[in-house]
Amino acid sequence: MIFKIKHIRHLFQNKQNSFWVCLLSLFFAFQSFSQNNSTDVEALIESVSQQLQNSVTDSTQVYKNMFKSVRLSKQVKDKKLLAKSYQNLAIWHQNNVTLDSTLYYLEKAQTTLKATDFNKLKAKNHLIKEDAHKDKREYSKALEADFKALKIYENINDQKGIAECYTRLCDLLYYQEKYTNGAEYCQQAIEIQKQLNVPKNLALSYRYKADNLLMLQEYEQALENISSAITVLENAGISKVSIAKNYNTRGNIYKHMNRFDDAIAEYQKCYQIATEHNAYNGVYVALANIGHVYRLQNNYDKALPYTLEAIEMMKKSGNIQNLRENYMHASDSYEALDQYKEALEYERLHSKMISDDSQEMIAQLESELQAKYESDKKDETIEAQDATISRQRQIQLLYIGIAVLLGFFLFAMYFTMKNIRKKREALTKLNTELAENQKTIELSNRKLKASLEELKATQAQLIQSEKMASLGELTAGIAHEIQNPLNFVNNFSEVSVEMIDEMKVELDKGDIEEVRAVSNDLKQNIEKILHHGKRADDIVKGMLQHSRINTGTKEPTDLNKLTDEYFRLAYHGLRAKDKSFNALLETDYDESIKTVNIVPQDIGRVILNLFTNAFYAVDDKKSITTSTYYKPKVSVSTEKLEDKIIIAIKDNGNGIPEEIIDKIFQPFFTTKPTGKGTGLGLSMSYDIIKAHNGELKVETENLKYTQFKIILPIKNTKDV
Amino acid sequence: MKILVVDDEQDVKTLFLQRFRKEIRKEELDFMFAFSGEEALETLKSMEHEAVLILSDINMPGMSGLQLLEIIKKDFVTPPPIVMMVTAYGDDENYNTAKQLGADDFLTKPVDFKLLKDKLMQNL
Repeated sequence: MIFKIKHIRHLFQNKQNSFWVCLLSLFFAFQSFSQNNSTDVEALIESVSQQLQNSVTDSTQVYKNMFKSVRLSKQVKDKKLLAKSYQNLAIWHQNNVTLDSTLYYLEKAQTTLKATDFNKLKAKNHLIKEDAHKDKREYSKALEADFKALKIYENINDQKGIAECYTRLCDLLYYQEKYTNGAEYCQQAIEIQKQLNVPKNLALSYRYKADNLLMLQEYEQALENISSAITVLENAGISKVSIAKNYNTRGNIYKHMNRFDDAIAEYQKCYQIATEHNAYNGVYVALANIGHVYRLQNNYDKALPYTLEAIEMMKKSGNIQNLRENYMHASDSYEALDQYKEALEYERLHSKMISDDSQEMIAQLESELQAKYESDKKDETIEAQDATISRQRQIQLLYIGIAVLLGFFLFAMYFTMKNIRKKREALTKLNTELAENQKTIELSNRKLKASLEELKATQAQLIQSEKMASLGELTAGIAHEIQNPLNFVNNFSEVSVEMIDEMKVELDKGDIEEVRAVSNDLKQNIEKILHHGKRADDIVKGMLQHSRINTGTKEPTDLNKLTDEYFRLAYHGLRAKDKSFNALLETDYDESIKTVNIVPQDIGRVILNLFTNAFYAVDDKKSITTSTYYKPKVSVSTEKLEDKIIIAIKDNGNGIPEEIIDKIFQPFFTTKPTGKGTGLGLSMSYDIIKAHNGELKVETENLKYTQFKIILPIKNTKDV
Repeated sequence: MKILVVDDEQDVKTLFLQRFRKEIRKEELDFMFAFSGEEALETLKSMEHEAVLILSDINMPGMSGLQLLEIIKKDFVTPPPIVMMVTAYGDDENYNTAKQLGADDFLTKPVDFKLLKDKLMQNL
């Protein structure tokens, strides 16, 4: 909607400068009757100005006349006339939307006026320039031109000119969507123009102000202003065709106020007047607007003929600014009337215009890119030249270097010859020294061997201490695991003692049936005690197995069971140490995995280490996070692929920082506080997985998660 | 009133039946057993509108005791069952969570059966 108002507005605005040209030309035409040659030229210029204002008639003839007036003005050496001739050319090009030519002729006019004091002409030049920039949508340049004109008018205290500049400012601000400022400038213009007898200018200010107010949705005020414009024009007896566009604006305001009947009445007035005066742009604008109002009322039957006629006229006139949206309106109306074929046709026309617009834009962008590419290329050539120069310089330096070296060698050779004799003597002395040195080296070699042994021992000790550390982690978990069977053992024992007392009572009573029942229960209880005792025994055996010296022999192992055991042990181990620790555990085991040929103690140690790290990570995050929504979670999954098995252990802790991710598998690297970790866990895990021909991989995202993957190859089907 | 015991250790059933054999025989207590949170919910659904006392372990594979508690307190309101939670860890967080979710009582393992009996009798 905003778009539409703007464009219609745009159609009307070109006429104003023609008005100026006309007035000035008339003035000069009268004045120069006495001068012989100049009179003819002036008359010519004046007629051209008139024709330009009317915008119709024989365009080529006008064009010829303009060049004629330039030629003649040069002949009579009249700068004022020459400048005016250039301005006429500028205006002609402006009307023909060849704006670069407009700017070219304005430049010529400006040069002509340079050393003169024809201030009004100078100001006018700026104003035509403003129009050209406005049509090119270069609003900041247009503003600049307007302010230059304003300055000239202020210097010569031309109130009418000042007011006109304000009106134009108002218009420019409208296009830049600064409606409040725009309305203020128009108000200033109105106040000046009320004092002067300039009804057309005053009405224009009212209308522009109304336009700005309409955009500010101040409908009542807008209505008031446009009505003032119409009253001013009517009272001054100005021709109806000049009032027509005001009716159109009033129609727009009514349309926004949803007073559709009033709006149509205004547009009809505009249409009538424009038709009578053959002002086609007024006619199709009115038609398009009437069509639009009917469409807003969902009266598609009525809307369509108006829209179609408007389209035809726009096509004929060559002014296609509003054509696109009217194609769309036509298509919508046809669609609403179920005439899909026509709807499609107009939709295509609409789309084509959009694509044409886009292509134009693409072409422009491409040409900009081309320009940039070429300037880049130029830079490259310069760089290449620089490189060649520096290479040549390097070669020169090299030659100099070689020459210096040669000199040095010759000099050195002389001394060498001289020294050789001396050296022979020294050599024998040296040999004896060498023999002594060798002895010393042998000694230190022995020392080194000894410290190597020592180091190896230390390493073994360290590995053992890592094992013990993980054993420590296990112990608490194992304690918890043992607690459950122990509870059963204790409970069933206690209850059995009670039952034996009961049995005695029943025996005394002689109730054999009851005695039998109780003894059956007792047997069951003792079986339970045995069962849970064995369960505890298994757990302890498992613990011993973990700390046992590694035999390094692979055996078929239930990998899911192993993983789950250590998962529980690690969790309960931590829980037992820190009762407030809590985490969500998730398991997803691939049941198709049966047994895998591995060294169970070793793989178990890796899994335990990874779980311990995972729990440490989530606990650490929990302790530093301020969010109450954080839920620590550790998950494990196993997956069997064609030739490998993957065990994935994932935590939702803070992840591993990028700067240390490369170091985590190095021995003695730890992020835990001193004394809390040996820094050997991951390094040992890495070695163990390597020894299984597998891979240990890590994936992490800062503040989100860490996932370790143990990838074990399965060589043949026997493994699984 | 029925007492529903929820624990993943199957032998808990045997133990309860033995420990409370006198009360069961005298029909003072009436036990039912479920071996997971999911199973407990199934049982509860099948006996709608019957008064129940639930005794649930917290650490269970699958649905945890706390999750079960939350669902019970939300979905089974007529009549609201009494829920007692049992866990090996008498830690503050579990205790607070259980209380917050509306647990009526909280016991730690190993269970003191004398105390439990008193509590059960009191509630019935």
